[in-house]
Amino acid sequence: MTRAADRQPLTPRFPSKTAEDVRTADLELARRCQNGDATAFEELYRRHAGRLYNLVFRMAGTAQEADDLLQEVFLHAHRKLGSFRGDSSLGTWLYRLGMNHCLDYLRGRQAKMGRATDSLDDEGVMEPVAPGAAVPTAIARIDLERAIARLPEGCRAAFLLHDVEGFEHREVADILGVSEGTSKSQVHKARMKLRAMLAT
Amino acid sequence: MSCEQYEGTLSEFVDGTLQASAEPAAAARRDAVEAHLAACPRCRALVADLRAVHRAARDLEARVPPPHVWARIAGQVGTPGGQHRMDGRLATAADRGGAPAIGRRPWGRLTSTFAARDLAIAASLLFALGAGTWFVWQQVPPTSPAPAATTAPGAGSEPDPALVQDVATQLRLAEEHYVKAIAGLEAIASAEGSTLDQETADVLQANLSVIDGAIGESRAALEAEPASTLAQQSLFAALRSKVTLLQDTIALINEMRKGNEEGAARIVNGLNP
Repeated sequence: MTRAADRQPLTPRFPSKTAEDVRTADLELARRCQNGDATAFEELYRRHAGRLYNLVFRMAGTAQEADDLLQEVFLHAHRKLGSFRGDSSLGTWLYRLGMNHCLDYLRGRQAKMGRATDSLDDEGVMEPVAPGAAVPTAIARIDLERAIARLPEGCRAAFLLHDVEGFEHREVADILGVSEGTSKSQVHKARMKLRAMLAT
Repeated sequence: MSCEQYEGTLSEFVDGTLQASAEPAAAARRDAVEAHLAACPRCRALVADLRAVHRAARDLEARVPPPHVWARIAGQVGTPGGQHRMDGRLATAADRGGAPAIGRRPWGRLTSTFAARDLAIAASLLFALGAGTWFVWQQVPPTSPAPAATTAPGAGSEPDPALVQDVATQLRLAEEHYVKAIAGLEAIASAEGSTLDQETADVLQANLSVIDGAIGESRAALEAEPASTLAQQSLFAALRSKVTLLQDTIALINEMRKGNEEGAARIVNGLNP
């Protein structure tokens, strides 16, 4: 089983490559994609589709929606690659685009259902934990998946990026367009809510 | 200081970033947290819980995008993976680390002697499985389109017991289709096993094992909570993953037999509407 700990960092830390080298390589890959290089877009997909799929699957909740969202994100990215300027890594740009698309989709879905949506600034309600209750040392996968699915979207996104996918808070902040402090507080909020849901 | 004043810092303590920071302010906060934890069993329990959540999240399995997603994307952007080339390669363990299954696998060793009869049997088995699963899927109460949007257990109206029983019955029927389909496909795979190289067979088995594990967990959850829409959806999602894998396998078999890339792409796209 591949775990978050085994996954590649968002920005590869090649000892021999500087940030400028990575930026240059990203810009070159984006340029090749724009110019219709048949292999370049596939390379972009190979690098990032796995992690993006994990995210959209757990944000949307079903394989069907995840398949469709992943497809839409990459097609959107293909159209928008001309706007990539190298201000962040190509990976960050792609994950930001993907998470925005996913959150828009979820909010649209909830709006159709007539339900209120939360935002990244929404503190929500913190469920109390019964005195003496504790989270099991070994949490069943399905219990955690179900609990994650019940998290508000904002803190779920931050939690998935940080705790499941292993991004650092500065990367999470960049992807979600929030401050690093907000990323930390959202992840903490998600953990506290999960604790409340999983404690027995 | 009270426990509440430390709470926001405890996640950083769990992550280890507080301990790793060389900044004097962070060191001071770390010392204060450690002193508080030494004296506060409530906060020690909270840290243990947060660590358990963090560890379990880190260990969640990676999901793999099915090959047909890339095939559709490639078809729309005009890269060779879509309309003109269909790899259909199964995900490898390395792929599961972040790269999806779209490599350029040489098919020479996979060229098969599969007969049209075998493919017809496989296709009919998949049709039966897909139809059975689809039929049950239609029976699920449309109260919640996805787990992400579900409300807390117990919230809202109680499900109709008759409908729950009907869904349970249909679920059993679908599983019978499923078991028959798997048995039939396994018989074909066994007969033609020598045509698959070991690496492909291993990858297929590994993926099946992961999905079977998810099916088992979902089924256990459904047995514990038969009325749980989320548990039903979890089981259906796992079943659907297996259907998708079998569909990709059939596409792979077809490609092996015909050596026709465009035909393989059409079949994969047709099986995954």
